[in-house]
Amino acid sequence: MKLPQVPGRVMLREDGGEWYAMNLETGNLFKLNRSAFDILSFCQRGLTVDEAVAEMSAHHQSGLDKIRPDIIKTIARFKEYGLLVETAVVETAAEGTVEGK
Amino acid sequence: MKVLLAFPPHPVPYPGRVEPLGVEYLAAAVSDRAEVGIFDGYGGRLSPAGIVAGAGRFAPDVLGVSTPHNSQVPAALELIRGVRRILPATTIVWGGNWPTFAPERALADGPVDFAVRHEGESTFRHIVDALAAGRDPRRDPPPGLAFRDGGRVVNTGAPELIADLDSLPFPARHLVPGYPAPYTSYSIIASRGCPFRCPNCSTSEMWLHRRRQRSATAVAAEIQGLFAAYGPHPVGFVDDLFTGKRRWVMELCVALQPLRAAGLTWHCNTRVDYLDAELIAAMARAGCSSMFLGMESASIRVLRQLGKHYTPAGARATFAACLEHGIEPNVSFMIGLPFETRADLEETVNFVVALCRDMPRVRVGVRHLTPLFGTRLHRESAAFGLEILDDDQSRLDLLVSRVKTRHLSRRDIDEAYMRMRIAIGRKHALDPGGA
Repeated sequence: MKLPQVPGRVMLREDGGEWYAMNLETGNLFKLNRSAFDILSFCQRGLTVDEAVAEMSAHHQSGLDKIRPDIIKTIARFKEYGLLVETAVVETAAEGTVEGK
Repeated sequence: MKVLLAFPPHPVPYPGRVEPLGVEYLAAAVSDRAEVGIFDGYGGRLSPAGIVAGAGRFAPDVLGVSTPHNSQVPAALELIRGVRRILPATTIVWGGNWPTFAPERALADGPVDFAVRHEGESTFRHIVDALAAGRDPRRDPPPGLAFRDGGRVVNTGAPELIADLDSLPFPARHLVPGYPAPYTSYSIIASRGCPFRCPNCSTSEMWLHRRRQRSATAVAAEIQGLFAAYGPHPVGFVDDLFTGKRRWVMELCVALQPLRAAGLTWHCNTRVDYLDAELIAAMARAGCSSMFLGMESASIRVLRQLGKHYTPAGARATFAACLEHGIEPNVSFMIGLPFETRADLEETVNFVVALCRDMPRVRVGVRHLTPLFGTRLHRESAAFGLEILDDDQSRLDLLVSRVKTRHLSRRDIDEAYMRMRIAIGRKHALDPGGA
């Protein structure tokens, strides 16, 4: 299952060893810890949940059984802040409506 | 004759709650000839439906709606339509930014009888007097009015501005329910207007590019009256250019001195190039505790294009002088200006980052350029090389980039904005008390 998408109007930035996300539609700026930033980056790269769990586990000591629910919980929080949206219905004039692109 | 004045709520959160000074002045202008009520949708937290319900109980002959901010327009239209539905005979008058700069739209969008343009007291009084005398205000209309006449809109042009502001009665604050509880400060306007023609500013056009001021004694007397009636409270001067006349500010500072013992502190808005060390010291002695300064850019090239005659180094010296005298400078930058190149923007970002790091007691804010209706930037956007991506005037919160310029993509603007916001956020984390 694909991770949700980072909307085009959300910007991620590493700045002086700190990690930030900004919702440019609302002007809200969020300071994140490294793991949260990584999760948003995975979403931006279009990874699946399994791929994200695998990448996280390569960098963290926690077991897979803890990492997966952490990712799911963090994603839910990001959706509340408008930093993530469910994989969108993408419309293009040439191709019509393509779900789950 | 019963007159109800309404200040619609607006969705943009402003720091603190500012009293509806415009409708208080209008109320004072007609309170000697009518029974007057005020509903403040913003400070009083009244929805348009709540104002309509209140209007139904008050049953005014005239409803005056004031919207200095375009973000109030949707709520204004909702309450205007609601009042028209339940009180079809009430004369509805709409003033503020939108009716001033788009009178045809204001008259077309809602069941409005009259759009009052620019300064409203004289024009509004003319309408109330005519109706009280059983006359149609459209006969012999004064300047400053727009109305429908058959299928066409009649616009009588700009009004004569009031020559002597001391001739106006003090704002009718006693008519605001619960005054002063809903508000964070007493709002005072000591001068109206600004002579500058900054292309991004609509208030200067609203006041027809002229600055007039009240006498120092009248301003001090108004504050003294407020303290006597309601007790001491911080004062916010809402003038566009408080220090526009140096000698007058000095006189005002002297006139305010006796109120210091009663606890007077105040805030004002001005420009960096209208301050000097002596003036800052005098203002501090008179109780000034903070001032809003629209610095806009740290590129000298851009500052000159805006008609601002200071340098970034000079601005820092001014901020330092303010801090030395216990005045908190609240400095605002604007990004996405049409003359701004990437190099200019980089100068501003670097200045803001350094300012946040070196002078954490300076309050810093960054706003996106927002082409407001009534400004040259909006009227002549193409000539300025400005592409307006979102022209919904009701959503103008200055937090979101809505333009692309000849030199800057939206991404350039967004990235610069984010870098500055990070610097400001970092400053808050380091010095939460000072920011």
